[in-house]
Amino acid sequence: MWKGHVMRANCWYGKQDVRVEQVPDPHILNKRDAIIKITLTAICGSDLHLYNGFMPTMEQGDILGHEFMGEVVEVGPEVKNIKVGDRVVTAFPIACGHCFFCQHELFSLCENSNPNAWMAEKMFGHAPCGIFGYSHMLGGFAGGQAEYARVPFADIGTLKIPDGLPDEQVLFLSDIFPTGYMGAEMCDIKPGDTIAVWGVRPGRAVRHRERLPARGRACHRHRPFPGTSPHGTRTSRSGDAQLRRGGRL
Amino acid sequence: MIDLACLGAALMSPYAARDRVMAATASVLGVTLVDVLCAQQLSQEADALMGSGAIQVKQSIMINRSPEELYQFWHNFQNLPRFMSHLESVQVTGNTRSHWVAHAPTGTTVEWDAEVIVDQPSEQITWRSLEGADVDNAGSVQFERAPGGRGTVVRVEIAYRPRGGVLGVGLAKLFGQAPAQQTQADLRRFKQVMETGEVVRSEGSLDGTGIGAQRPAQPLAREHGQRKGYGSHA
Repeated sequence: MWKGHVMRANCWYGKQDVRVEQVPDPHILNKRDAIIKITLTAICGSDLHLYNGFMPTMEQGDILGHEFMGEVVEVGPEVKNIKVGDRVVTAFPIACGHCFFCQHELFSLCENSNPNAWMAEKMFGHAPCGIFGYSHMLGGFAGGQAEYARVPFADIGTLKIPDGLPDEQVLFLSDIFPTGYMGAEMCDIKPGDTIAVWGVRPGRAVRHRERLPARGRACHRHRPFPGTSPHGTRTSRSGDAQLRRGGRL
Repeated sequence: MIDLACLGAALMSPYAARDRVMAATASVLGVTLVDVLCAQQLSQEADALMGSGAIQVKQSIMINRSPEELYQFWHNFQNLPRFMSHLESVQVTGNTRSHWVAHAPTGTTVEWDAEVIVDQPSEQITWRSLEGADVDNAGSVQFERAPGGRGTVVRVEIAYRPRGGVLGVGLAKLFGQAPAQQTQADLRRFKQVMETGEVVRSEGSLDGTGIGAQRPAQPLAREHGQRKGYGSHA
C-alpha cells in the first residue's frame, strides 16, 4: 500500500514570512530529471528580493533557494552522464541544452526551460530561463532550500564534484562564482585594468581573468577567498549580470 | 445606436436647437460609418482561412530543427495532442482524413472530422473540418527555413467558429483560454517537444502550459503506486 513521504523545506508565505514546513518529496516529472539529496544550500542576496516582497508572481507555499548541492538519489531514464551516488553542484539556471541560446552557451536565455515564459515576456519583452525557487514568472520551480530537490535537465545543469573537496569549497559554483566570472569574462578584464563594479555583494571576489582556473579545472584549483582579490578590486554580481549569465565552469 | 436614438428624440422636441442637434447627429453618423467599415475590414481578414465571423489566430515561433523534421512530426496529426493542450486525441482515419476530439471550456468535449486540403512537404499543411463538426474550424501551418542556421520559422493560423458565436468567445476568454494565448502556448510546447523531447513541466505549472492557475512551487504528493521516500519524515 502506498505511503506518502514528506521532507522539510523553506517556504515563502508573504513579505518577510518564510516558514520551514513539511512538504511532499519531489519525484521525476521529465525524462531528464534527477533527484538530489541536498547536503548544503545557501541563501543568495537575490533571495532578499523574494523575502522583502519585491518579486511579483510568488505563491504561498513556494519553496525558495537556488544555490544547492548534494548526492544524486534518482535519475530519469534519459540522464546518462550522472548516476545515483554522484556528488553534484546544481547550477541555478535551468537549461535544456538544445535551443539556439543553450547551444551558444547563453544558458540564462534558454527558450524551453521556463513553462511560464509568457509571464516574463509580458513584463520584460523576452523571458529568461527557468530558475529554481524564484517566482512563477521564472518557471514556478521548487527551490533548493529543502532536503531534496528535482533538477530538470540534470544532464546539463549539474557539475560532478570529485572526492576530496568539501561542500563548503564548491557550493558557490552553483551561482555566485560563475555569475561573477561571467561578468569578468564579458568585460574581457585583463591584469592591470581599472574596473568599476556596481551592485557589490559581501564576501565575494573574482580574480583577474588570467588567474582564473581554466574551464573544467575550477573545482581542483580554487580555494576559499575573503572578500577582495589580490589587486584590491572588489567584484560582484549585479541583477543585470545575473540575467545575462550564461557561462558555467 | 443609442446615441442616434437619443438624438432622434431630441430632434422631435419642440425645445431643441435644431442646428446643433443636426450637427451632433452628423458627427455620430460619421463615427458610426467608420465603426462599420473597421468591423468589415476586421472580418475580411478572417476570410483568409474561413468565412467572416470566424475567430482568427496567427502565431509564429522559431524552432532549432529543420523544416523537414517539423513537417514530418506535424503531418502525423496523432502527435498534435502532445503539445496542443486543448486536444484530447486525433486519429488518422484515411489518406487525408482524421477524427479530432477536443476539450471544450465547459468541461465537455467536442468532435469533428477533418480533411487535409493543402499538403506541400516541408512547407505547408492546411486542414479544415468537414460538415457535421461540433465546431467549424480550419488550420494551417507553414515551415520556412530560418536565416543564419537557426532552424525553422513556424507560422500557424487557426480559425474557428465557437459554439455560441460571440458569446462563446467571451465565455472562452473568461475561462482563461484566449485563443491567441492558447495557440502561442501550444507553439512553445511544440518547440519543447521538438528540441528537448517532451513538454517541460514545473511544480507550479504541472501541465507545462503556464496558462491557468499556478500551483505552489512545491512537489505534488503522488497518489498512485509505490515510490521510494526520500525525506526524513517517511
